[in-house]
Amino acid sequence: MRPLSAGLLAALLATAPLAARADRQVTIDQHMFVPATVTVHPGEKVTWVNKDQDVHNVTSDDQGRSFRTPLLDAGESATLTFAAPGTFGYHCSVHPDMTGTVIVK
Amino acid sequence: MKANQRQSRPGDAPGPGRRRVLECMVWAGTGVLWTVAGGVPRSRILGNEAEAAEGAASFSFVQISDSHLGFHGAANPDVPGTLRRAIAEVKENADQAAFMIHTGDVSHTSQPVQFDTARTIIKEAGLETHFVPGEHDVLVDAGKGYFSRFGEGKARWYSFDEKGVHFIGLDNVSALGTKGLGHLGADQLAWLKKDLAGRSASQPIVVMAHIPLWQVYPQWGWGTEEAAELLAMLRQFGSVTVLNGHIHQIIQKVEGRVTFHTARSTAFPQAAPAPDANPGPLKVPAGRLKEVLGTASVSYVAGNARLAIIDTPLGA
Repeated sequence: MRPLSAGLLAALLATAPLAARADRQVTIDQHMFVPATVTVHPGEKVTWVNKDQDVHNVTSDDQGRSFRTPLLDAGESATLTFAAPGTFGYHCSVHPDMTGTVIVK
Repeated sequence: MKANQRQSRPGDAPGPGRRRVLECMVWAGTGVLWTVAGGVPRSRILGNEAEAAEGAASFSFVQISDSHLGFHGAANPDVPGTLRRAIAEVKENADQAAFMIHTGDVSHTSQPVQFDTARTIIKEAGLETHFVPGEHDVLVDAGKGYFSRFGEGKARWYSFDEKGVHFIGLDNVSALGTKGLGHLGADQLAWLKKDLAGRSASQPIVVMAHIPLWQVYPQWGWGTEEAAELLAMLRQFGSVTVLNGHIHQIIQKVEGRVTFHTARSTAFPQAAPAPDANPGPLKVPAGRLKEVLGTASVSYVAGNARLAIIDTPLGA
């Protein structure tokens, strides 16, 4: 994975309305991110919705933890905006076996 | 492990309420009563009168685990309620126990109110309680909320002696390893080496930590990275018992003179490890509770050279 550029905007908007573009939603259920890989264009948003019984978050895989959502309890959600192109791996810091990827291109 | 249905006795229940609670407790788990006789810890599930007579040994303690205060999923909508039931069971047996241990995940999301509620309920047992942290206890602020309430001393780990048995409480959750495996770190291992140095090989050792200290199912993070190193340090001792939580089910293993055992949760069960399962909270259909989670107690009996495991079904 290439280093994250400074252009990555990790805005946390817990109640962000979905814009009418190609924004994507990832469902968290049964200890999985579904779909595990989403592709968006630069500037678009990804929203993670926790439909699991357990608590999870979204934490970037890179050393600097360049994006990280708050802990999401059952029913909560968080939105990140991806400004710059790249491939961004992430995991749940509570359950690091849960992994996903956001491709921005 | 053996499934076993717990039967209600005539006069035991005025209505379905109590019976239903007891059935729930079978799967939610109560506490494990540990008895140390001749340096060999033995366990039985609380409420198993059939074995109570065997508790007349020199020294015993209770293990509870994974209270998860703050969890409110379908797997158990009343987590404080099931913890209260577990503590009530412990209280009934308190005269047999010297103290209690809690092997982590007191809270579900590390919130102060969750810790405080758990502490209030657990205090009802009237037993001194030693805690080790679970990963759910250190989600916020490096676990300050947990350690300020349940920590012992300045370090995240500790040891103490009770009637000749050496107890060690470890933290393998503050810095999770890859894939969520437990991780002890060089500082803790160095401390442990020093703590064990010079001890007689005949002194019984009990090690407590949240995540299993052996590789139960690494795919789900059910193991600890430095397990081999830890085992090497413990191998010199004649009786070693390793007590863990985290996986919300009983699994045990004997390796040489080291016995590993995980306790049930008081909150909700989790699936047995399998490639097509997931490690999330398991919702058990009401009608299948007894079938699926009728519990087993496990005893450790000294053989000539090594420990042996005997399944002891509930209420048999």
